[in-house]
Amino acid sequence: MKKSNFRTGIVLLIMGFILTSVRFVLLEYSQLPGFESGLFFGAGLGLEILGLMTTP
Amino acid sequence: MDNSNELQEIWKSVSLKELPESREMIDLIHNHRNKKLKNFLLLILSSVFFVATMIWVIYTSASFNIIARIGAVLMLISCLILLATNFNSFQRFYNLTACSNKEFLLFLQQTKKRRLFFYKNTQLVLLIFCVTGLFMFLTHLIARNLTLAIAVYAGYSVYFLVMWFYVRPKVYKKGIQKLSRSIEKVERIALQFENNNS
Repeated sequence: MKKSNFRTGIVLLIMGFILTSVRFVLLEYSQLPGFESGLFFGAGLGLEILGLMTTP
Repeated sequence: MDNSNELQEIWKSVSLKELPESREMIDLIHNHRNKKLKNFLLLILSSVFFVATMIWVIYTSASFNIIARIGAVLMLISCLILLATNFNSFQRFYNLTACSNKEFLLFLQQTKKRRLFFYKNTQLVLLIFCVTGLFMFLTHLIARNLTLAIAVYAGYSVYFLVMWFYVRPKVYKKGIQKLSRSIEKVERIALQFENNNS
């Protein structure tokens, strides 16, 4: 097996795991009060960190 | 003058064996390009993921007031600025194919200038939109739970001040120092090649 194929496989596996986790969290916790605000705030902070820590 | 001539002689007499070969230089440029392209791609994908989450939250929930929604639009604008900047840089690095040492040097120098411009202008605009957007979005908390709203505002303000006055200049300085070292290295190699060829 090529090294690049192996890497791609690992990346896809991790992405699948993340997406499954996100789906699980959304289904389980979306009824909690403040969940949506927290999600939005988290995404906003993530975006802000990307803008702060990266350089073109 | 004698000293200067001697120095020139010493400079020219340095063996080329210690310098990287042209193949190595091409690999160096290629690796640098690929690494940066990967970073830009990851950044673009992450930004899209974050903004998609925000849009999804705003459209699926009817409980947010108009100020919170305007805040969300401001966040969206900041994301578009970030995407445009990084897409532009992605294209710049994508077009960097095999080039001479001098061309690579010019490319690195231009990168340095772009970083300074981003630090002084683009990043400011981006963060003004982002921070104002988040502050506006959080206004909906005031009506729901005042104590929580004050705690979140205070926590976010402290976090932002630390990021703005400590992390941001540090990250910029570190990046510029690294880039300056690379420029110096490529400059030295280009000059030595030139002197030995003349």
